[in-house]
Amino acid sequence: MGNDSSRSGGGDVSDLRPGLLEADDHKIRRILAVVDGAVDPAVNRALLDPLRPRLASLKPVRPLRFARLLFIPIDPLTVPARGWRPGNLTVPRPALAPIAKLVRAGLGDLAQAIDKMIDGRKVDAIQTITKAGEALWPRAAEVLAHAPMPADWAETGLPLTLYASLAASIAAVLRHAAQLRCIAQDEELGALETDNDAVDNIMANIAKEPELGCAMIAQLILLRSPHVARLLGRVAASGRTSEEKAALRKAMDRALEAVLSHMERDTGFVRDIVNGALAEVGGEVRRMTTLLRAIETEAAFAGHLPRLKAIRTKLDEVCQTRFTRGLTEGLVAPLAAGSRPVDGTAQTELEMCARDLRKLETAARKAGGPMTYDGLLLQAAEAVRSAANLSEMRRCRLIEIVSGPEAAESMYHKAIRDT
Amino acid sequence: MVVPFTTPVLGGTRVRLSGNRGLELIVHNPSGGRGVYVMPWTAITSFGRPTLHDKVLNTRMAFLERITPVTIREAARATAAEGLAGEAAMQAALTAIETDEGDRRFANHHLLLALIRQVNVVPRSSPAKTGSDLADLDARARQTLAWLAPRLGQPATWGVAALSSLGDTMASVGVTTSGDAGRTPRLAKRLHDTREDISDWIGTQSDGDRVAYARTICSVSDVTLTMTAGLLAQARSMTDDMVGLLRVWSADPDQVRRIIARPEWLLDGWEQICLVWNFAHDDAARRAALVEIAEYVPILPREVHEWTGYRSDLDDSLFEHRPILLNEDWRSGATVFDLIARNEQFRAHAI
Repeated sequence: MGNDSSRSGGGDVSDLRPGLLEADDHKIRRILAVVDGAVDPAVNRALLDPLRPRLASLKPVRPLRFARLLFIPIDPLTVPARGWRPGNLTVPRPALAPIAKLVRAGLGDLAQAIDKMIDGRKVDAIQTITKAGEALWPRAAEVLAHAPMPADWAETGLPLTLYASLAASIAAVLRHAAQLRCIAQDEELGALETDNDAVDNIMANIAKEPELGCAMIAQLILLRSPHVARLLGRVAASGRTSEEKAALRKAMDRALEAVLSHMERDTGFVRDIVNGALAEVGGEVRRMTTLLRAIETEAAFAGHLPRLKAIRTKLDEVCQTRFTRGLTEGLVAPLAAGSRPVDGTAQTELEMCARDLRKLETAARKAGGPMTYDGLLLQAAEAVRSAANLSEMRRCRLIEIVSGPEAAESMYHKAIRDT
Repeated sequence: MVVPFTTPVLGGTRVRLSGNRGLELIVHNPSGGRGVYVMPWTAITSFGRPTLHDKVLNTRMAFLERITPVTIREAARATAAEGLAGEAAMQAALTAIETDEGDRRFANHHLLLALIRQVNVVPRSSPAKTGSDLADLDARARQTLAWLAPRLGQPATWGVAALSSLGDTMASVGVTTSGDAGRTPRLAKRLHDTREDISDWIGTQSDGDRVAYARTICSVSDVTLTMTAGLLAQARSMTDDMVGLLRVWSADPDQVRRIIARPEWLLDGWEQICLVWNFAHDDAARRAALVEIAEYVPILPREVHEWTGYRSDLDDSLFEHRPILLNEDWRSGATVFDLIARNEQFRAHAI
């Protein structure tokens, strides 16, 4: 970070930061589009580092670049330098650029092949990421496991002694990245039971990985694939010797401790849920409640039970706050403010918002507060019923989503009778 | 007949007339295991909460005299046109009505030309290109039909109405092999493209349960497509002898209707399968789609042997693979809202 490339157009980019921090979501997305078009990574970092927490919540669809693809598997573990402490199960962001450069140099022709695969794609190109990742991650793990410390490591400001253990841990995650992604995607879709082949693949030879790497893998499973959390006990038991078993047990405990500590912190998940896009937070809450349920029902995690009540209470509060804001901004206000009849496009947006609210509510009820959601949904229904700018059929559609098909059916038959 | 319900747990549900002329629904085991439940609509609530779209569609079906691909499609289209499956499905339903009308016009025109060519009792007024002089074509058609009707034992006025009805009936098969007219050939093409896509996907996967599912689906698709092509050719070939076709039509129009409807019966249920696959854009979604598709793959109608002479042993071997378990929350938890939205998108992309 100590070079001149963070100066842009004669001025220091730090001059722009105060304005950036106050920018609204739309403006940040526009700035990102400009920054992503720039080729100087140092300028990008200088501009965007203060915005990382906002970006994490906004989840903007950015261009898929080599380094971004490489580190997708460890994305949930990446933290800014000031948020990182030695021994944490996290990866400090300044470490990424030199490691990406190192891996790229060690890949030979594969780097160009990967560039070709991801050319013009963005981070929402799920299938491209899967295919390019399957080609990249295992090879990157090999490179990283054997490469010496990058020459520019000192510029990261991180301890020199950190490199070896961090590189080995990232390599461990990358070795299992394709399978971790597979089970995480299954979890997100919610259609299938756990793919045991993928889990078996993760567990094969996991005892050979360094403890920190094992703990990172376990943490990723807890965060992204909580349905699989119950299998972590199997991971711990897969050691061949009592020492290996103890080391794996320790790694699993560290992972769970890290996840629960994160949940207990004041910021923790709060920022992601409060500021996150409504379409995303339902899934986020679903994963969290699934994890809490897994911890409650798994005997191996019994020691952590007393911590869960406070986490649930906080999660419940945050969900109610996010639901209320989503309801007001996405449904109540547009319906109350509209002077013209709602057209097809506006109706589609209202329906999407109503569905996202219901997804959040369905997941959040498992954290507590069912009565609150009943009341909030009644409020949503009232906003729909009293909206003057809705056709009867469009009103029925919205009522169906917020109140259920029975309420919509009554409204539908009344509308038919009245016409 | 497969009913395009939007309630996730009712995916792939079929309908039939029961002995007392009421409707029976054949619903897949909601756990994803083997077997079906046969029940009246009133028992459906034990499975879940049907959407308003499905309630209204079911009411429409209850008034149908016959349950056929055409009557179910029309009931579903009318329901979507009300806006009960969302804005996109409503627009698609209105567009589909125009597309069908185009198919009908095309079929009527083609039959008229075929008849004039075969009978050839009225000389052209000028050597104009076929179809370029509509007034001349109309006059020649009327004269041809007036000449033909008494020879089929029908009054002179019968011909125009008969040819029009026959054109409406033939519209679904497309009449000619060129172009993309006709719903059934369009659906067959969609199935062909989907089958190719599944086959390509198999090539990118290592073997496993899902790949075995995919191979079986491709095999059943191949058989279905081969037989559909044969039945379409059979239906279209009837227009080679327009006089003979009108003779049969004058005696028993239902006999013609049954032959024309065969390919559509054979393809019943495949549109849903194509849509499930085509909406799954990545490996994870496709793994899940295959499990869903496995529940929906239609059983070949018993009449297929009579229609085509083909005897298939596919039914015996179909999906003897290890069942892949569904997540307990799927179709009932928060994902239900996404699944309904997806199923409504299916209505917007139905042919």
